[in-house]
Amino acid sequence: MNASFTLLRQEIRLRLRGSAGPAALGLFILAGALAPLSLGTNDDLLATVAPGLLWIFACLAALLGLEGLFQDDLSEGRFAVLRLTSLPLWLVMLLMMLAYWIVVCAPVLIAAIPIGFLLGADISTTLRLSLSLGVGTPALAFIGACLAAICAGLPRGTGLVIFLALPFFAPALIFGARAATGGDDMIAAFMFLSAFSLIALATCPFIAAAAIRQNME
Amino acid sequence: MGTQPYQISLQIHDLGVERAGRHILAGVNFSIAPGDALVLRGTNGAGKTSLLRALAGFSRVQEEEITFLHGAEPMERDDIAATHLHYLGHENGVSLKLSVMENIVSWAQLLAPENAAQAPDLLEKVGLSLMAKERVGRLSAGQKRRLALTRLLIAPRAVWLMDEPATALDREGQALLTELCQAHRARGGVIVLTAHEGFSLPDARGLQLSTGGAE
Repeated sequence: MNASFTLLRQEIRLRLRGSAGPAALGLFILAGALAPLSLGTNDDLLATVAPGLLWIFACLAALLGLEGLFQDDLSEGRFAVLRLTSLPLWLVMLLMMLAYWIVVCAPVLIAAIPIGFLLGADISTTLRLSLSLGVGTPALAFIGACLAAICAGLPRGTGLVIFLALPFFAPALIFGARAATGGDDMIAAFMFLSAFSLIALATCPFIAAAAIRQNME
Repeated sequence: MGTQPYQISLQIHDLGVERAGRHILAGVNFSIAPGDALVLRGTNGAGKTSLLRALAGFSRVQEEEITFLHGAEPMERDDIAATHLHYLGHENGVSLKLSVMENIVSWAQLLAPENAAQAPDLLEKVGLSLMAKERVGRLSAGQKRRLALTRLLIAPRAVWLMDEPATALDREGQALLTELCQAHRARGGVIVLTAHEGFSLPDARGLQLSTGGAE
């Protein structure tokens, strides 16, 4: 247990040294702030599209943060060190993915609140949006990181990761935006979103561990 | 440092390593007793690194081909990896974004938390104490290798697997490496390393690898 916390802390520190976190947050804020410029100042329109729009931006931010994830760890031999610790590789991957979510996705769901207000969404919509991002982004982070682990051995693999991630992100995007918009099927959408994240949480660490093993052969 | 001598020995029986369906190594046999060192030699592509990585458990091999023994008792593979192996590859395993001190403290926290306080002394030993706050990305190849050596020292482990450890080290650094290795062997540690001509350990055995097998 102690070693897990230690690795998580080290991992967060290491990710914070990289550009992924600030770049993803920057993209989200900038895109949200620029949206009114391209969509016009029709307040009703902005407020209506805000949940869907911010979900797309969140997906893009999560993808942007994948740049180089695990690639350095593989080329610097860090995985070789981590595989010779008491932590099993799937747990190492789980902690790394968790750190990725904390550094890249968590700031986005906090930033969604001011950006939501900026686009003219009301309080309840904004809170639902942030909550739906909180429930749905773990799926984005875990699936994205899993694909990054598979492509970690490829030079310039990030381009491939983005295309591979699209079909997996689609369900989160559909139900996330639905949950944020509210309405009759909101509860169902939230439940689907949580299920999606839980499935990703349960499977991705093992797939990523197998991928890293394969990449190290 | 551990005062108890290590008692880990290693038996390799008919080891074969395959990569993408191609035989890199076949029929490798050797055994190493506590205090022994084995120097793997061979041309580029002869499979020296593959052999080391197989010993470290990074590539798939048949269970019975590699046996680690504690005294006379065979040991569990996972147990070995978690507590008895050090692997020093040509990548060094150092994080370029962290400082020298942060690297060594991270290893200590993961591998041997009780030894974290030794970090400054170990940096002094490998000649990096003036660079403690420097970001590793700015270090020379030799300095990174010296830093990587502290990982072997901060967590006492019986088996050192080293891939071309002398590369990038200056003469003084190679002398330091030899000294550290000999001290490790004196405590009963086991060393398997690869090297080109020009570096060897006193009274170490050699194993010549050629493509497809070993002599």
